Amino acid sequence: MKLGVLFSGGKDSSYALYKARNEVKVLITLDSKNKDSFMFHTPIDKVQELSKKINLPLIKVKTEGRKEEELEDLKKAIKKAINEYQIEGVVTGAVASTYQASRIQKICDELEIYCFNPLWLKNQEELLREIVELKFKIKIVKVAADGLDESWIGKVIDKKNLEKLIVLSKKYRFSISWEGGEIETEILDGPIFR
Amino acid sequence: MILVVKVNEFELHDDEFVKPVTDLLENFKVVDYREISKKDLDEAEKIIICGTALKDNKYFENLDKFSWLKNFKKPVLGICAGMQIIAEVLGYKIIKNKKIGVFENRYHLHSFSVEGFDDKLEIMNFKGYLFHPEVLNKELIREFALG
Repeated sequence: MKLGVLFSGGKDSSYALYKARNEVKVLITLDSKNKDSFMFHTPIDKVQELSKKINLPLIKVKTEGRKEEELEDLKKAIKKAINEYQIEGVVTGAVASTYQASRIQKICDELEIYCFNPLWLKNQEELLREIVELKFKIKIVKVAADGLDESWIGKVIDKKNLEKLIVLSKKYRFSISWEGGEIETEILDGPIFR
Repeated sequence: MILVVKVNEFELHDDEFVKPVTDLLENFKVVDYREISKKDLDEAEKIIICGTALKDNKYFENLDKFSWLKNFKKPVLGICAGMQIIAEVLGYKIIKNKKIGVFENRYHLHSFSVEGFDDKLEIMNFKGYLFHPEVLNKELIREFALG
């Protein structure tokens, strides 16, 4: 089945891409002006460069990031992927957000394509350990949680840093999935780079 | 041992519809609905039939693979598509009823439901949830496993 991946260049969408890798024909990115969007992660300025390194075409659609309106923009982007790459399904890196997941499910349902969420409800620590184990090189580009100071920006999540982050997430009670934007990541290298 | 029956057509859906259920269980075996053996049924103490994706309705064409349900006496839990399968095999009518998202703290992802039933079903040894309890109501799966 031909698939498109909703790709932000962060750890979750990169790992979702890895899981579906043999069937992925295109990356789909929403370039949101709203830094606090519940749907789309920012920044995504490296996505163009990443798509070249991964050797997959990229569909990038701009959105103002207004609630609900951004969903229409996402639908447009997926429609474009259907028309240009004949995709029959979309893969997301949704882990725990029913807000994100149900909205993407609705769009896929309206467009009559499959929706795949291979990281859905995955234990957060397990997910991060697998990503590190698979030798993904993930850099922290943004932090926004108590217990995380700016010295974390630019650091790569290796085994040692991961253990530190797990301890901090328990101490300061922030989600280790970082779906709420506590930490934004960017992929530098990993098994999806062909 | 709890026999976990997977209904999804595509392997890429395993992590979405099967793993979140087995993560809540201790002693289980996963089997594709087309490959259930008599030995599997004999050895299972209970059975959970998982759900699948909105667009994935392939199992409807293969309902004969679930004919064992008719004479099965041990506890069976059907999640979403699993509930629809139980109902269909037992002779109830499936109707169109699309619901996607969180309603009253239950995560729904379905295009059909069972006529005469809301989002739950309880008939003899059969139990069904039309919503996905593994998302927001994990205790329901644990209760079934332990009960």
